[in-house]
Amino acid sequence: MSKILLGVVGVLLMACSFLYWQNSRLAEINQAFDLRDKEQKDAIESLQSDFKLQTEGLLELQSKTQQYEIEMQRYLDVFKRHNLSKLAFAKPSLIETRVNKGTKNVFESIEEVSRNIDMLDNGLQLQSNTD
Amino acid sequence: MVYSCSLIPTKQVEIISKPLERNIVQPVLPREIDLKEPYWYVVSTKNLEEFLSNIEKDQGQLVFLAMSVPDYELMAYNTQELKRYINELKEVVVYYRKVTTNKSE
Repeated sequence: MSKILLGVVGVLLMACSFLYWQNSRLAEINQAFDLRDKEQKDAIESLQSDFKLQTEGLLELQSKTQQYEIEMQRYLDVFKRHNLSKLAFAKPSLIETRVNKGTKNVFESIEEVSRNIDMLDNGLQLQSNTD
Repeated sequence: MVYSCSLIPTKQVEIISKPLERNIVQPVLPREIDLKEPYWYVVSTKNLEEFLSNIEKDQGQLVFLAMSVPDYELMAYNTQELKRYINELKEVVVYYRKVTTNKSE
């Protein structure tokens, strides 16, 4: 009788240890799946965030490009609206003043654009070779 | 050899794909443009004599480079075209800096 009991206890111990081992293995697998799930979620979020940033950036870029094209046309329309040859012939000194003022303004605006580009790196300066 | 035995469980290899955060070093941007302004003389028959005598007095001899009004308009167009290009390129630089700068920075 005691031999049967010992046998049953032995079988039960073996079954318990097998179940414990199986449970530990499943817990490890579960942990690995949880980790993979989290990493994949993070990866998807990161990709979505990058895509959003790039889309917004490209739309802004497109809008500004159109704005610069319009600005250029607006400046050049001055020549279409006025007959510069006729005006220069009639009032050379007046046109001379305006032409020089226009050149000064456009050069200053180009310098301003380049200054804005230079400031993008937070003020790091490349020095001029000719001063 | 031990793992060839089917009774001993094999260790599974987990393959996970995730994007790497790249650290792109941003270059120092070019020095700003420093433009010098030329002086335009507008000359017609009304002030031709005055212009010629002024040039001779200022330069010591009668020599100058001349440009017709349509050519001046071309120069103005070219300058505007360069300005447009610089502006558009600036926006591209801004875009690339934005998308390649780490969010944590």
